[in-house]
Amino acid sequence: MASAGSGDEKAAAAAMITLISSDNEKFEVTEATATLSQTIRHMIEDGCTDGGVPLPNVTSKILARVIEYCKKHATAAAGEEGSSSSFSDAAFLEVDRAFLEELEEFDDAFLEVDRATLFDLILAANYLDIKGLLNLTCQKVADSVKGKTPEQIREMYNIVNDLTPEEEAEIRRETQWAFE
Amino acid sequence: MALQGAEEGSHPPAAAAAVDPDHLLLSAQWECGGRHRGRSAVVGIGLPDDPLLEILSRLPVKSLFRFKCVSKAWFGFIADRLSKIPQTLQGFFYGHGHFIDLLGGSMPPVDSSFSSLEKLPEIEEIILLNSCNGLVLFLHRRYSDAQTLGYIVCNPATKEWVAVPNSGWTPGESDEDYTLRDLLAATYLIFDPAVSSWFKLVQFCHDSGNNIVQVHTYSSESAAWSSRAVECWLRESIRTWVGSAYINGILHLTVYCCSDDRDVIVAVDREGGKSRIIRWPEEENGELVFLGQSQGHLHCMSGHRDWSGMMTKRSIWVFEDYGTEQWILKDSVSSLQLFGESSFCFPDSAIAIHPTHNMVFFAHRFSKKLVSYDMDSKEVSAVCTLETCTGPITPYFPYFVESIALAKKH
Repeated sequence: MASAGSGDEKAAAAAMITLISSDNEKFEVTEATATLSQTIRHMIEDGCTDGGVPLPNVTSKILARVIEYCKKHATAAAGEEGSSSSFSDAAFLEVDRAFLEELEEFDDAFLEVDRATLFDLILAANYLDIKGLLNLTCQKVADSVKGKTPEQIREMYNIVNDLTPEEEAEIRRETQWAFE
Repeated sequence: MALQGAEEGSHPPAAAAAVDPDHLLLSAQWECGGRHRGRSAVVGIGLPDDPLLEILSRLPVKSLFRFKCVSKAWFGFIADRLSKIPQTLQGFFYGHGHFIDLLGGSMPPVDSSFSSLEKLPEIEEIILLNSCNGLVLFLHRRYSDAQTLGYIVCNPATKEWVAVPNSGWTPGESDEDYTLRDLLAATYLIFDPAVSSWFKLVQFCHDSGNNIVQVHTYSSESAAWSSRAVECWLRESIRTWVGSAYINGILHLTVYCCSDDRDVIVAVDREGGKSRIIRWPEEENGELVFLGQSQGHLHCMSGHRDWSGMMTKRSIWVFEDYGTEQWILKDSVSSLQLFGESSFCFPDSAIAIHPTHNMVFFAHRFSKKLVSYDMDSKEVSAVCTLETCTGPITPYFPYFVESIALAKKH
């Protein structure tokens, strides 16, 4: 994947980190991008990123998506910091709003994936400890299940109902209000 | 929802999702990686516990209750999730068997009349006193043994309850009026699941001259009352109608000191002793009319009367800092703003403060209207009309965890 070369990232350009996916593909990213992951941030702090960071739990397909997310959000964060000194308050707010809108659009498009990919992104975000990505993906799943019935949940996720009919009837009786 | 449509459109039908070969492969790799604890295979959606709990934390309470019957594992996860739900004001209990539901339909309905509790043969008559973090305290009267006062503590969310026997105190022979007798024993429930799953009661017994003569505390852990020395409470009485606030393990009450004829706020420890006396603002020119807790801070309200003696304005104060004893004026509101009329004497009373929002609730004694006042937007909204304005009004924050302190189910 692309190394950083844009002007925004010139400060961080010197420090590049190599991430290695489970299928052995190498991705070179800036430190600013990589440190959105708390897991990698800690590795950098401990000085154990020489020779690349192996991520045996993340495939190249998912890692590419995760890096895409981190790049966008790292750029946005850097952009906000950089702009605060050079604009008046009103102009800064304008730029701020534009950034947020752009980010929101990016996030929406980013989530247009099938369920398996979404789950893989959650697993990767959880393992790499990327708070923003974990929030985003978990919210997406929550939104997609919140209006469903228990039967639909079992069907969606292929869950075997191991409650006895008596147990289920009792739970249903006590939670009847939630079905109305 | 456009996104949902896209998700479903781009993916094989639901049942096939779980046998998606790529996904299984990754799941297998994940387990082989051995880096992560407890993959919830039993829950069956293919996510470890942490993200699964993250997802559940984003679901409304109503969805959580509905999903309890998905499977045994979901039942367990949801019980765990429900125990961590932050304090939410569902509404108010008031009068005899009434409840105002502010969240209508998004929380489990409340059996406001506690009818099932009253049907039990061992319970004769219950009278609402107050509530604390999801548990509700009732006075229990037995006609056969009218001299003694027992209590019932109940969790409406789990339908559990327990009876607390009489402390040993009996009102004097001359106090024949039931209502008066109830007032003579000012009793408060202390319950904080973050500290202990056991509850406590603190009972302040007054003589007919309205002086505290005995102080008793009940521990549900030892199931016993103990009494304490009352020296520090002599010639004082509890202003029960001003309310109470439970903050960080400390119960705050308003106490009238007969000797210097003034009201003070007293922080009461779990043993019924005074841990601190707090002076309130406007002691000189106002009246302390309300005490409550919001956003972890003690709040009080003082009322102001006009030249004719009518209370026209209320000031809302927050106790910012226990160290410097500093009160900060948060807002002032008039009866005119709240109910569109200038005030008679006490036509409205502050009944509660929202625990998480800058909002106060007032009830109008004559029209029985309940309104909320938003201190940020200064907006007044009508909530409902109360059935009655007599008796206490107490806020209710559902607590969905079954308790060792309350054994019986009704």
